Amino acid sequence: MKAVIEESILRIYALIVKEFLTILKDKSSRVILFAPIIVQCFIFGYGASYHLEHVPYALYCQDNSKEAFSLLMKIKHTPKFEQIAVCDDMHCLTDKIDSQEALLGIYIPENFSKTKNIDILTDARNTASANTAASYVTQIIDENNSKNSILNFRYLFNPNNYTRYTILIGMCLGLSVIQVLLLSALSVCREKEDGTYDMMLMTPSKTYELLLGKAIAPVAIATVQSIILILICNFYFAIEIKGDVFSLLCLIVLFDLAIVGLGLAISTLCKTTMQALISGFSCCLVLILTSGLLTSIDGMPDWFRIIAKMNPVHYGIYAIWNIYLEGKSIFDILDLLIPLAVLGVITFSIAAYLFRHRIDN
Amino acid sequence: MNKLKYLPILIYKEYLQILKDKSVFILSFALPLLLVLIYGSAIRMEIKPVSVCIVTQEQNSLTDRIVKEFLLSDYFVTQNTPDFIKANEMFKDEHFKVLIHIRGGKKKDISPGIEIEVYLNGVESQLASISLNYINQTIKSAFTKAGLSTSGYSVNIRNMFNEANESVWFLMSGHYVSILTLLCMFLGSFVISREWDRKTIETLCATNASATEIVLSKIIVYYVLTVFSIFILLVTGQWLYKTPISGSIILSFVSLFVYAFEMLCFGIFLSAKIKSQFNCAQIAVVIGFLPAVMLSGLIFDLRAVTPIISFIGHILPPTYQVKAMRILFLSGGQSLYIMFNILLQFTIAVILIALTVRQVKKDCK
Repeated sequence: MKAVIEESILRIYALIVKEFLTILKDKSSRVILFAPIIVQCFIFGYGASYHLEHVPYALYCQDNSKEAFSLLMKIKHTPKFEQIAVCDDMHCLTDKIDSQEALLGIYIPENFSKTKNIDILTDARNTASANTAASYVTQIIDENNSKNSILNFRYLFNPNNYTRYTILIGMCLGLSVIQVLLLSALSVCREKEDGTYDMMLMTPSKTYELLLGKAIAPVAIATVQSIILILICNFYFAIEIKGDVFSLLCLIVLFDLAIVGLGLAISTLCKTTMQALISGFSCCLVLILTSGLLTSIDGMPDWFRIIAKMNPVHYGIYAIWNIYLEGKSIFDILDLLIPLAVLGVITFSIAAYLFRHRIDN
Repeated sequence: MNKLKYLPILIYKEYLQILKDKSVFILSFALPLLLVLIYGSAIRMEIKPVSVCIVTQEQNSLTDRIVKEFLLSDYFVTQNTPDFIKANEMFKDEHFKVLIHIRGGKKKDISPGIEIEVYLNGVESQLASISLNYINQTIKSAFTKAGLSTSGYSVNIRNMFNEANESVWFLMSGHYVSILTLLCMFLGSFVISREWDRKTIETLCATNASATEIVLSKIIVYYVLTVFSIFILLVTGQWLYKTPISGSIILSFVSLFVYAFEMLCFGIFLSAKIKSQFNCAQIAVVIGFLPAVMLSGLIFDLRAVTPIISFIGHILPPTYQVKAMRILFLSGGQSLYIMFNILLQFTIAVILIALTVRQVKKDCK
């Protein structure tokens, strides 16, 4: 019995080594596995922000009162705001917004000191930034008027409410989804196209051994990538890891294992590299976009939320937020991990079933 | 036209090849459908409803008014409890997204004498800032109804070009661009690299056909597929989300067709340069997905990001296309810019074709 297990492990090990060699032997694919991930991490880190770093605005003021002046000075001296134009009529104001030079138009009509009316025009061709910019102005105007604000707010786990926290941490898993799926989707297909598939079947390896051997290499590569990303988040972007590192590592490995089954299932179904890449990539896109990473699940229509609940990436992303940002341990979030594991087992069994039946043909 | 003698034959060859492997059809017909559905439904900027818990320890007319305002608003699902400790625990376990704590006041200088503390979960930062916006407005309206004012000024906000403030509208015009970017680059990325992977490139080179003919035949055949994709994309997109088109419909079409052509050429250029389907697909995904979504101003406004990102965004063609589409769909007018954009995208396409031909010529030697 012991000898049988030992032999089996030896065969799996040999297959893993072989898989690593095929993936890493080519210099350009080595670069492609790691360079884009790091570039993306930096671009997401700096580019992904629902906050506005600076708000260009145009002004049209018809009132000469002291009150209007002090309010305008207040807006002008807010660091984020940049006055790009002072207009003499309404046409000019709308024009500045239409040409996308200004994000906001501020209009102060005559008799402002009496009526206290202010009009704010936003460029709602991008509703997200329009609403944010409008809320900035309202806040400044409110503060100008009442010294003590009765409304206090506090963001937990992310005190300055940086979008970067949400997206970068989610991306630590999100980017590895792409890798795991594409690599595993390709693993069987490549053999079919290169003609080495029959050779692999001629080895004494059994089906489950083949499956395991094929699964380990993508998982290992994706795990390494996630770790690199987490290191960048922690040391470069200074996002502190609140939870323990052990929980984080467990989550990453579990998550990658849950995804790899899907990739292998795709791989056995497809005949050519192109088919595998197309299906693998389509899956990636669906998984990432419906996971709630870029936009919240609560914004989606009801029927779409059901799809999101069947998405393993959704559980993975919420789990990594919980561990990394909120400091929970792996035992606190079993409600997220159990569905993840169940989905993983389901996809893996499907892959195993397909693998066995396809090989018999 | 003796120069292009072999072009029809090569086109026929490509046609047969596509018929043999149907996955290209899936890519060009099913993927736009799938993407339009997912992009349109999954990427939304409104969050409705937000689950809120209000803790009120003392009952008075003002707190009642505030709670009532929340209960009546369809932006919130509200529960009300006097127990702060229990509510706080439930908040930590994520039973609801926002916790509002209203305390009867000790501060004398504020007229109603109450203090409102809002706790938001910053892990989903976008959700948090949108919820705060809603809460701010709701509380203000409660104060106004109670005859108290938080601010002496009345601020009217007008949303230009999108009066309904509907995020699908602004996003959809950009989604068309990003879906096409992805689709065309992905489609293009297999075209020549596949010949390399199957080692049929040498056979192709050995024929009498010139590099120009080889490249052109591929571009023509795959562009026909792309045109079908654009139709599917626009028809389903407009049917599902009913985005209004304020500008010229013909110009919108022309603009999208030229842009798709450019992206296809870029994909084919990549596939000639990189010569491996896997590597090529990876790169197409990375640069096709990223700049079109992150750096084009589609979701994250380029006017508001750090200068370096804005600079990178402005080197890339999708940025100009997104801007043009927004003008065409939402505000209309500015035909000069639209023309400039079409010309720009077309010029880049021509340069890319020239580069691809050069590359293939070099490899065939």
